[in-house]
Amino acid sequence: MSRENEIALSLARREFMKTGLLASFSLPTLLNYSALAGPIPKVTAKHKTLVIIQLDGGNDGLNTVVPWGNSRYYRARENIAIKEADVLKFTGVRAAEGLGVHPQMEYFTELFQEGKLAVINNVGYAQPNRSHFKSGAIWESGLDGAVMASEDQIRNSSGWLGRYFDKHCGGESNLVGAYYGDSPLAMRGQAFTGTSISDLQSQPFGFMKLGEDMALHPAFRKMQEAAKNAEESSGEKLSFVRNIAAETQTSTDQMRKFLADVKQRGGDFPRTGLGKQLGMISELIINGGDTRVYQARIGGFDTHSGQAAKHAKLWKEINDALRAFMGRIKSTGLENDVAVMTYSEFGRQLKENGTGGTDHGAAAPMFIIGGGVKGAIYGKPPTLKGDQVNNYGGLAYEIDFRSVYKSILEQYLKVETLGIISDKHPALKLF
Amino acid sequence: MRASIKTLPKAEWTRQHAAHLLKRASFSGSKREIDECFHLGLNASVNLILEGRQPGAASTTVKKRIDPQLLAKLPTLPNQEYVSDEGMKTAYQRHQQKLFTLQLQWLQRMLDSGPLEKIVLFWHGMLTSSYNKVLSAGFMMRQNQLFRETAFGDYRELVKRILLDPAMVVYLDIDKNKRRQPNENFARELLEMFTLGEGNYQSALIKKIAREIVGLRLKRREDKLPYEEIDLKGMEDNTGFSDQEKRLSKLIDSLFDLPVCGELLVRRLWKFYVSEDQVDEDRVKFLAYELRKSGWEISVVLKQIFLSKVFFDTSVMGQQIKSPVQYLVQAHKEVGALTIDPQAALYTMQKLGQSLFNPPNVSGWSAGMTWINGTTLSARYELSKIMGRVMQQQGTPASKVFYELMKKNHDQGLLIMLDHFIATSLPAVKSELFVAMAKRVKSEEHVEIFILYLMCMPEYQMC
Repeated sequence: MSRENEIALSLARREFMKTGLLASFSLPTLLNYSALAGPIPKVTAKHKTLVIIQLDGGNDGLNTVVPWGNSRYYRARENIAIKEADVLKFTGVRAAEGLGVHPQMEYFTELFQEGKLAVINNVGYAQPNRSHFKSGAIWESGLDGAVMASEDQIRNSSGWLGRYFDKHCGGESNLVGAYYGDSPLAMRGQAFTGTSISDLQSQPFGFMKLGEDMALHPAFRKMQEAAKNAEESSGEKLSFVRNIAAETQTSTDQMRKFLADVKQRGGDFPRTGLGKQLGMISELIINGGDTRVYQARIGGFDTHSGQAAKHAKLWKEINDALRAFMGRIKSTGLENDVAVMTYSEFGRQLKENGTGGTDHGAAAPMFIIGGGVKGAIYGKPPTLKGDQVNNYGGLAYEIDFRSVYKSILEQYLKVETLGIISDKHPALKLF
Repeated sequence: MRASIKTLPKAEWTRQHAAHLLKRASFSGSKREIDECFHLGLNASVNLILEGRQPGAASTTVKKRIDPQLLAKLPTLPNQEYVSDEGMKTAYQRHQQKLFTLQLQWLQRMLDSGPLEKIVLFWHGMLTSSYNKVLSAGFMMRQNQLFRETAFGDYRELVKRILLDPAMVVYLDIDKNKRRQPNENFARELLEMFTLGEGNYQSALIKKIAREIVGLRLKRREDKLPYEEIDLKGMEDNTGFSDQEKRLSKLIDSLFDLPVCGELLVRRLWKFYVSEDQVDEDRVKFLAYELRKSGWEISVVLKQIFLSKVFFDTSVMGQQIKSPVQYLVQAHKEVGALTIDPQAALYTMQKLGQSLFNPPNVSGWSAGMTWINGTTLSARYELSKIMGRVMQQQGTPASKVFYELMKKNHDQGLLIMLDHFIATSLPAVKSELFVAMAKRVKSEEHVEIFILYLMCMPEYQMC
């Protein structure tokens, strides 16, 4: 009897349930984090990496990049405006006059000083939609027709990153995109959907205990292989499922193999939702994964009431997580190979509402951060004059978000964008 | 037009056919139920099914009640880590709890009376509403009950009643129609999703219907904040529809008078019960004709389908990808469990891509291949692990049943077990390893492990 057979036959239920033959399909929860000893080795990047931070709920742009030099801002927001004395002002650049950031965003001013922060004013799109889901779908799709399409139609089409993967990452595994939370439309292409990395750090259900040994059980593998090599006569749908099963196994194997090499962990990441996400992402980047785009998520930006405290807390979380992340990336010499982009489905209205908050608006600023970024202010600060405030009080856009995408794709990821972003949107020069 | 659809000759009826019938018309059956269905024969079984009864089920099923303590002990719901606002978090959690209670109760019903709940699931996918918009457990339950009352009955009557159904009214903004700006959205859904199907009507008809439903109101419906519960009590003395009921009824009648009406329903039934592949148009026309002739009785169409030879064709048997709900309930049936395991249910609702009472959009779930991708398939594998625990904990474990069989006749018992879990060919059986493993099965525990292996095969995703 072969050794494999013996292994198979000696399988006991205890072992099965505990180490989890099946558990090998979910990604290992605990990397063996021994405290980092000795100097940090420098790493050479195989490719550039984009890290997206999604600000879920509609971030209030005006209390993020604060137009403290504009009295209209203070008139519209008697209760929740950031006082001029509290604003962390951008200095040294003319374009930045009258602008600053929320008091919790100290790290952003440092980045700005170092020339590693691009602030893009008034980003949005024509005929803005105020539904979280629809507007989110428009941003994720990046297709020109999205505004006029129904939400379902958009959700059934492709995302801007998915089209990038299809066109430029053909032949690679689904690990080219990795995300936290729900499967993002942005990463959906014909051949790609991205890989969830949520389970790397949090197990939603306590009963799954994963053992250290992540090797797939040989018996199971054999049986899967038999399925994979089955004749085609078994019907289209079954063949489809078999293919997905084989593919899933391949990418899980790759991820596992890759994670097995992850030996150390450094950086002092805050124990917040975003801190943990960025901590894990930094680890994956430093260890040379194939992932081109990561998406992290932070929610709670839908600040209809009691905005001041909530918004401050959120930006503190981002500020601290980002500081740890960029520090970690810089220490391994990857600063020029990693860029961070923040975006939200919409900004909020100029005028505060009656409950100490703000309602769904339109355009808002975006941030691009990284060693390779041309740090500057892009676009004019919002004038907040009547013609800029649209009929329901949101801000009109001046820079289409697809011009930002295009700049990232063309100048940073260095790919051609035909078929990804319409040529109606000229790329900004962010890199 | 064809005169009829060929029925399956009596002589061809096998146990495998019985298993297939129960998988599709219900959520499969225990070994005993499949045996019983086989012995009853096709005709008698189909008659039972169309009464909403599971062939072979004990007539006095003890309905398992959901232990409220279990609900209280539910694991933390995922995705909340992304919500920082405490108030939102509480409201979200409250709604998640309500939604999950609804889901769990329905899943238990599916396990208890498969054929009836299968058609309820069909209606839920076709005339759908979503908790996420309706935000009322009472309304959603009421709609669910309407589907249950209709079951295999009158399609036209159901369409009439669904227009007055509170959950649907909220879901499709039926009551937000203003005379000056008639909302054509609902009218479009009525034609496209409920009755005629895309391309079978002209826009003038949409406008006409939109005008007709102007003024429909849920009485005393209050404007609500997001996450605010609609008060069900406010609905109880609802008489607001009566003045328009007759007109609406006539309007629906006129739609059902159109020759094309019924074809959409037949296509959807075919897709749901038989196959997602292109359905033969002659067959659709024939069945739609039978449907109309019967006064819109669904049971007439389903009877033709379940008795047909094509329903048992090799291109149909084992060629449907299980929906997550099918997967979950069927797995419970197959391992011999009597109660839906809350953790398994929660896992299914949140990770497999089909959250009951919460379809992604007005067209329900797209089904078929869209159920399976790397993430959902991995989640299905994980779920089978939970099912291993469920198998140990309740009912008559399938492992015990099959171990007893294998003790009597090893090979025969093994084959019955494979048939029980796998609806299609299983190439793995050809592998040396599989044979070796199978030969050495010598305890109930081994059988159990074997079953879990089977549940992680791509072939197990098919039904």
